Amino acid sequence: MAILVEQVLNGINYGLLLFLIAAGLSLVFGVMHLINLAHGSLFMVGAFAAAAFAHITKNFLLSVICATLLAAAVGWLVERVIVRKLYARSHLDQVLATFGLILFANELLRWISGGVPQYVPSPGLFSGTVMLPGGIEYPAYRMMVTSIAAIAALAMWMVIAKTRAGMLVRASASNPTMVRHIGFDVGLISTLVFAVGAGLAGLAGALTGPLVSIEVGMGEQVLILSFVIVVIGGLGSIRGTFLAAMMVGLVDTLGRALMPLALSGIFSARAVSSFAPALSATLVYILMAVVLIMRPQGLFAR
Amino acid sequence: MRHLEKPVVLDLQRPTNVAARIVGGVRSYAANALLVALLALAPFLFESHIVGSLTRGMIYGMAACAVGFIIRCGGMVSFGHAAYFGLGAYSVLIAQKIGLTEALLIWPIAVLVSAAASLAIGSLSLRTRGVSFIMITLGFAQMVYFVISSVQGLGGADGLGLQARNQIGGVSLESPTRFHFVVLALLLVVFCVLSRVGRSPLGMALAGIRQNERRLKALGYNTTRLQLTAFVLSAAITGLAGALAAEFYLYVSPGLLHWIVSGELLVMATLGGVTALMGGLFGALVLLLAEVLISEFTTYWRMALGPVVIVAVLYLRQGLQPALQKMLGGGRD
Amino acid sequence: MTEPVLQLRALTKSYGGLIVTDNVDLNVLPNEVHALIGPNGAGKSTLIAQIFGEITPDKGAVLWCGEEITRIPVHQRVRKGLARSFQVTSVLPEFTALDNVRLATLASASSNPSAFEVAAANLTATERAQTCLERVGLATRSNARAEALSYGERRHLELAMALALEPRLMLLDEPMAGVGSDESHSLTAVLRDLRQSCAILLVEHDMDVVFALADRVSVLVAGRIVASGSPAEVHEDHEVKRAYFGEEDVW
Repeated sequence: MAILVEQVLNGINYGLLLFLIAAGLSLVFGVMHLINLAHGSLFMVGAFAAAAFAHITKNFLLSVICATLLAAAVGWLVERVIVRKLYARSHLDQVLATFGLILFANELLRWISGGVPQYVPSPGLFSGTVMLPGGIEYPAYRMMVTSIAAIAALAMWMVIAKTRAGMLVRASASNPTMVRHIGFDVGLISTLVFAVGAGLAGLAGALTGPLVSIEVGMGEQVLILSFVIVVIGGLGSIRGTFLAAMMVGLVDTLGRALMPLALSGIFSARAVSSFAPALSATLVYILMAVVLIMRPQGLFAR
Repeated sequence: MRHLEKPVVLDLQRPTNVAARIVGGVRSYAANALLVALLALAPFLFESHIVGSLTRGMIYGMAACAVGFIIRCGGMVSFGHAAYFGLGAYSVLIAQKIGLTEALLIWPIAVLVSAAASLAIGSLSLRTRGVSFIMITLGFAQMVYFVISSVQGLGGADGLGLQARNQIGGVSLESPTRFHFVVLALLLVVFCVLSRVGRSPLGMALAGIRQNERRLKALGYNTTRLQLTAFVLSAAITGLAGALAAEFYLYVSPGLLHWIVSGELLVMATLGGVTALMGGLFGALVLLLAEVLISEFTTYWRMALGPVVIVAVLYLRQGLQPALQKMLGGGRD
Repeated sequence: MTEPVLQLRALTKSYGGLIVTDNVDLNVLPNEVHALIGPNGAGKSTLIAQIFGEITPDKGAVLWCGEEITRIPVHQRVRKGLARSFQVTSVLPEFTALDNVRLATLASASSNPSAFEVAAANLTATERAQTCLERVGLATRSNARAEALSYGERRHLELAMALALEPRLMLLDEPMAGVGSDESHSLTAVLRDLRQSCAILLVEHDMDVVFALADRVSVLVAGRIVASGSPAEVHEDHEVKRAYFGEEDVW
């Protein structure tokens, strides 16, 4: 039981982090109709930057904030220099150019980091565990990550749904000409959306850092999962992206944890250890296949 | 390979439109003939490591041409062809593990395995179009990657070596030169097939689907089924290329299934020019040449490749092969 | 009485709270020109799309020669003899005019396009395509790329493509939209020629065209058929409705 609760919490934690990444992808697609493969690289930049800042400042929160801002700044720059030339292009061109960005970013970070995985310890204050109701111990750091990610997700939703800026973003998505006609700079809105998406991905990267080893290529793992999420949720729907992210987070985490247990009842231990990892890695994609069969436009498409 | 169709004028006024870029086929065969001649003579002209690079270039070029084919015919941008490339390679590994050594048996098996996988993945992915299609092909390819790299019997994440290169009708392919010619011959067969299909009613309908799928439906075409046909053909060819890659490296690892291979195949296809039948081959050779040259100076050669790709996409809009044709004075009539 | 080629029974479609097709009953007889008129936003194009199978209705049925086809895919309807033209010109820009039509003749020749025959070598398909181009008066432009054709020529080409399918019923969605008066005359002549070979369901704003061609007229307002009958009857009926509703400018 305790394992189950812990895994569900891990699943929610993972789902929220994935949402922070997928939300940027979904927003950028919704507003600018751009498919951005390099979005995962911003996640990676966030993780590496947080590690470097933590080394310098010795302050975890400060390093997360700096990393988030740095990722947003990189996003801003990349949008101004390269990405904005791609809005009017075909998806093929967008895929190719942003693939080029990945190659560059990966190689740059491999060069800077010397190709060695980086490890960041959980910040001292959160290195222990917290006691949950029902006597379940849970790592304090994960708890904090879940809270920060939830707050960031909520804040983003509030901005989009309730504020004037959010209204403009939604309007730009559905009718850019109209927004231009009432006197707003659509170019600036695009840059802002891209930078905010980059910042969220960077934040997710910075928060993920202490949970994993920080290495080149970590961005693409989450990028591909984010694609799955965006497709399952329905392209351009933030609500759909959120629900799909939670689904994927839970399915992936629970699958990895519970699949070997479930299979061990049926097969020999040796067989389980050989194909349980394969099977649990496919669960998310099986989910995607099922959604495609039932609702190819995505579960929550408008 | 005579062209029966009317001259096609590439539209340079609106090159931002891929559709406009992906016009028609090859006008002049000068560039193609020169390239094939070069590849055929390579073993007599160059040192063995250069010949090896060219063999590798032809293998990747074959896959890249298959990737380009479904963009030109069907408007499908697949970011998951690494799956079919890798499955072709792993088929060779598995065939050898069960004791087969005859390439004429093993390669067709590899083709069939990739075709079967693409039939399943393609029929699911083709429930969507555009951006979703790109994302989903990538997703399923990643699934194949995870599954295969977790099978310990196939070497897991490290992969496994082959015992030796398979034989063709009992004739050994150990000689790099002989293998080079076999690859070249297969490549020419692939070109003939793709060229023929491209000019068939099916190819015409597929080119129509790229331009305006709704219109093709309104003419009574079952567009999804036609696209699936092209997708499977493309994956089958990629599977053959993957099998050849296994024979070339004599080593099979999940690296062949990695998503970055899908991206590189797309880059090769478009760098060479999707409009052209042999564009993928041009792209592959140029890319591998660049890799060889740049790796002389730095191990971080992809750091240079990234910006090159970006600049090529933003500014070199027609692809290399048509550009080369224009330089050779053939080209557009 | 002859059986209608097309019958709509209580067809209904809504998006959210907005009812775009409201309980529509309609039929088209063989060799009849049935015009569908109504103000912008009345739901004419949505109705055409439901008949053609691009949009699935929520309720009701579409019957083809008495057989229900409400949920079959577009390409199967085309095989049964239904064809359409688009309101926004929809030809294949990279292909020549001849190739555009040839795609249609190849489609009607076989439901499964061959992969190993050379398209250009199919002389029957090519000849039939040429004939269709002649019928719409585009014979001299057959080797021009579609994107190089004038707007009016593309509208003609669109009709040639529909014609090449040898349909039993053609759905024409504003075939005159955006063409000048010269070309409007030649298009009307083409349509007059077309009606010899098949039934037509015509959505059109140009009332001169409707009166010149239509055997029957139905008026669609806010998703409902409000009047149906001979052009003269509907015109009179319309006067009444105008007096009644005030601002509805159907014509």
